Amino acid sequence: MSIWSLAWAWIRFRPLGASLNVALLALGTATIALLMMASQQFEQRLSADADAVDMVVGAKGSPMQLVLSTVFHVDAPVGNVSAEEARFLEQHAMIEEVIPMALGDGFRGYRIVGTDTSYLDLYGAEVAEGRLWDEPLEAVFGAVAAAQTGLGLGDRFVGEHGLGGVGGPTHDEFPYDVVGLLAPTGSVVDRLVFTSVATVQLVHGMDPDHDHDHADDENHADHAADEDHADHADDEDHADLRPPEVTAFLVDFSTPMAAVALPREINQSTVMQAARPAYEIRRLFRLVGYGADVVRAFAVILVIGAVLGLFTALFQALEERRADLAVMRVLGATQLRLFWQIVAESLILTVAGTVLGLVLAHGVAWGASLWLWEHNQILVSFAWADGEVVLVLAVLALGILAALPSAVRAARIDIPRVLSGG
Amino acid sequence: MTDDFQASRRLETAPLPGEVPAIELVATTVGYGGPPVLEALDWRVERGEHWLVIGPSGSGKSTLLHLLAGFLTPAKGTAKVLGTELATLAPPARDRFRGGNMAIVFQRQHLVQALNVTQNLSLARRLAGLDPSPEVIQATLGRLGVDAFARTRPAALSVGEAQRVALARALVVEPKILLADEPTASLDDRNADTVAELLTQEAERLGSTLVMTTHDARVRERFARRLALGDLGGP
Repeated sequence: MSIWSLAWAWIRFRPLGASLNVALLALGTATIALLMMASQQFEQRLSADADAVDMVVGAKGSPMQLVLSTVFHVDAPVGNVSAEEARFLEQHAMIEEVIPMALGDGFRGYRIVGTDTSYLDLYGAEVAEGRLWDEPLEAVFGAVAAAQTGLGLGDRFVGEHGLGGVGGPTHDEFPYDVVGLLAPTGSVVDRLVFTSVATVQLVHGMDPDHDHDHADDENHADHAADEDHADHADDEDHADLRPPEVTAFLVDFSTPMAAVALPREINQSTVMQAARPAYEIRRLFRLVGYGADVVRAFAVILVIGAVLGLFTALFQALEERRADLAVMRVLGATQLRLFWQIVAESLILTVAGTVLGLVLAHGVAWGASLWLWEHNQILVSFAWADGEVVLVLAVLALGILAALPSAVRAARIDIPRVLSGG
Repeated sequence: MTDDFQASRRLETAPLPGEVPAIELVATTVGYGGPPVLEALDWRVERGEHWLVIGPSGSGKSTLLHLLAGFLTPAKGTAKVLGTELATLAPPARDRFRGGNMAIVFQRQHLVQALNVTQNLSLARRLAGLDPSPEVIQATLGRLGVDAFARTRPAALSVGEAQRVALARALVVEPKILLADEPTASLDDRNADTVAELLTQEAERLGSTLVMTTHDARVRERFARRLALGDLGGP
């Protein structure tokens, strides 16, 4: 009859109370663990998307809105800037690469992004079926967008103003052809529909070739010869088209110095604004973090409540077992043995509560990840969050702390008084 | 032969040459912080002897057992058990000495309610530093006629059965000294007789020194040696 087996026997002797202690600890632990996993997932996903882009340049306005709309695609665009501005950026010594982005439309809630194919390289996206867009009005779907809309290669669709999906105005005269499907990346790419910048400009009444010699433009020549767009080519009066605009430019620095100098230069000397996704996302975490902190505080209160419950249960059980403990001393148990006996009981309950809490948290996360994948094709990991080891150690420490008053009391038990019935 | 002694009187028992007595009290005064309960008590018990400690309530019978078990230390004088002065031992060493050499049976059985009968005996052997041998436990339960209750929880036992299990728990550690504090007080005549008989028989078998306190007249005749404490108020 070791310390552990006696502690286990005592726990089994009061199954209801012990189960309640374990359940309360499990609930608190699970809540905190779930919050940790969710926070980590949220931050990792946003950081991964943000880290792919050094800087975003777009119309003046809110820098966070600029980043949210062009990097994460969760907000309305700030506005457009002249496509001419690309020249300033392309010729800048501190800039390695400029990727234009033209936004404005969507399809069934998935944003249509006019951009270069080099955008896909930022996120390591690869074609799963078909090919990348080449001609005007060719579209390539991200994995989630394809799965959710049900479109496949060869299908045709029309874009809608805004994100679409709410029955708004559509561009019926500009049907897109699906020419490619991307493999899942776990990034924002999965939820986008890609086409060329020129297509978005064309759909929105701009002249993509405003500054170019039409005769020299091979792509445009192909486009004009395209049977599907013959009407468009014939009907459009290019004289009525506006000069081309884009929503933003994604910029890749050629030197780390650019991170400091370039945003200031752009903000002060151009009609555009520069925003750094990494900085804006940290700002967003700080804002969102307050809400998470409040929920976390409630979870901590839940754990503390559970530990107080454990303390009360152990203390009450001690009163009921004073004779048992006194007899153990009579049989030769030292004061230290009785001390550890109480701590061992608390540890068993705490470990059980913690393990159950973690199983519960990861089970819920696993279920949520299956649901999210099945319904939204969102990849969510239910792997361990970084802080869970600390959480386990903290709960175990609290469990030991809860046992200390009872353990000390057990060690100091007055044997003659207890055994004589006092 | 029956020897009645009043407290504070030295017992004239002839020890074997060179043998350390089981119990040796010299001018021992002990109490609970207030007036002494036992004062200047001299008492010598040789190994293997069976003693009955008698006296009215409050005469110090239980206090004497608490002293011998090391729960109390003498305010004056010395108290040696198996040649060891318990008061000189550090508390953990005193606990280990008690576990390794003594066993106590109480008026109330004080069995651990969360454990079954076998587990109660196993716990006793473990705390005494012995291997919790199932064979020894089963044999002990068999000798006391409670082997049928090996897997039974104490709450399901009658008072008489529980007292025999408590006795088994004391005997399973094969103690050199067996202390019994009013073990028959709450039992009916038949159970009191059975427990007293088992107690003396098993102590005899193990060669244990037995000290039993009682004011139960039913068991007096079983003991040849008696230590009377306090004023007995009679002839």
